[in-house]
Amino acid sequence: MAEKVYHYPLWIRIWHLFNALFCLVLIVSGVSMQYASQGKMLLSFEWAVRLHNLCGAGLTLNYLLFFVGNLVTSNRRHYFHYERPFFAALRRQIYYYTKGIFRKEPPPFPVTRQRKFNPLQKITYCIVMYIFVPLVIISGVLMLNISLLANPRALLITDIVHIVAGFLISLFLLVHLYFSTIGARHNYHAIVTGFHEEDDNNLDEKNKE
Amino acid sequence: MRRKAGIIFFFFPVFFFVSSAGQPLSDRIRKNKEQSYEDNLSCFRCHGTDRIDNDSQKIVMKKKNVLDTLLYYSSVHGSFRCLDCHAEEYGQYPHPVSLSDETFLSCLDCHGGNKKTAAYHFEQIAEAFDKSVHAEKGGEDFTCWKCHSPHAYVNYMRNADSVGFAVAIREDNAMCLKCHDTMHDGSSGNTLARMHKWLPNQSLHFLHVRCLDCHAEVPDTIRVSHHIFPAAMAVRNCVACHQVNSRLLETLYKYHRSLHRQQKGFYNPEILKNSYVIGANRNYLLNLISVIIFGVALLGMVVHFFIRIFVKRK
Repeated sequence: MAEKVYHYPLWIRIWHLFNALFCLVLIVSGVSMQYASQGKMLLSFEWAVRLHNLCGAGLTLNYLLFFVGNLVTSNRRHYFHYERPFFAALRRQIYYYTKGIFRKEPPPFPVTRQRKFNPLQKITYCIVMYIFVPLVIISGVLMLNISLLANPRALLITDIVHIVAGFLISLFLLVHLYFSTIGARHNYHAIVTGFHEEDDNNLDEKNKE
Repeated sequence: MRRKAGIIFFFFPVFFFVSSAGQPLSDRIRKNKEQSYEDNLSCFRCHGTDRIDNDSQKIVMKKKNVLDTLLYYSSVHGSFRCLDCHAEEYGQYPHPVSLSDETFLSCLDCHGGNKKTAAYHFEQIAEAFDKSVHAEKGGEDFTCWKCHSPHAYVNYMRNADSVGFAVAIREDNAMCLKCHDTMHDGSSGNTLARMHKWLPNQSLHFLHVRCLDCHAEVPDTIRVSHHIFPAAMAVRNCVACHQVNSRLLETLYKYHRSLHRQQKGFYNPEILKNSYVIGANRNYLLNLISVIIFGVALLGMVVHFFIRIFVKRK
């Protein structure tokens, strides 16, 4: 019988839902602007600008919820408490994704009551949420208040930072969606209900801990 | 008056060597300017000041009859004597009353069929102007001088590389705003800002593009089309400019287009001198790298997925 762990309280699920929605709209509208071409647009430029500005503001407010939530709740330990030795743990997780999973080996760091993310997830989420997202927000806020960037060169550099950070977040989203199909059953179900249900064949490894 | 004359005498030698746009003057123009300065002194004694106050007379000049002499000598016509364009009788003082009916020259009176100014395509400008909303609504009264003051016109755009695009665009738009900025008074409620409300980052657009770039036809052989559209026909399609084949290359940057379309991977580097246009200034290398990374990641996931399915079924 698979064990259920309540890992996603309501505030995280609400934050995650809006984060996903805002990110999707921002990616579509951002790509529409970056690759704008007469007659070949995902969205009209005018609408892309409006939606991008609106969802950018939404993402910023939502990020504040995440940031403050992680400050005041114990959820932050899932981002900042790493297995030791750090690089050995990372290597074990990378080995699992590239070889172990095909040899039907159990995951080295399964989900438990104490552990929500494996070491690779932790460092990736940390980089995305504490470096890339703030970068995309700060550069976006600067471009929304264009008078702060009087010099075209400053605008160019800010936009390149915005585009590169936005691209890396899009790449993360793609990989995140795929990796959510690995390891545990119903990962997508878990982020809706809040309960994580580990695969039966991972239980032995988990019970050893 | 003395102060103004002092300023002229102080600054005038500068005009002998450097034009307003910082370009060295040709010997011919310099010589003409020296000559015109000498010849025009008597005219500007009255027409260079708003008040004549000496022992023999006290006159307040009408505003329309007073010229900014510094501006005149820095303008495209600064090397002309006043009497080159105005009737010789103006050389007499007091001026004969009959001169009040004087008809003024139009641009084509001098520039039409003139080989020396053929490069400026005045005939084509006149043809384009005839189709414009200005000709249609303004009729005979709307002459070239409405926008291009014969005593003050400086072609900043031709010298954008030296004076800077920001100055050239500001001065170009100032010609339009002479009449159209009256909408700013708000009496009709139709302020320029309100009429352009649909335009995101409005003030940024006003600083970095000319009114003409959206409100006139794309020019072919001439630099600036004088076929100005009615407001309803103005470009209102963002992608016209915000794409690699930007309309701005055929308008604002028409004669500043680089032979090399890419510089450090950026499309349309000529635009980057003045501003940064999203969609038009995308970076070829960054785009290529991002597509490769995205493609490799996607391919990796597809392969990973199918191996997982295969192993699971074994």
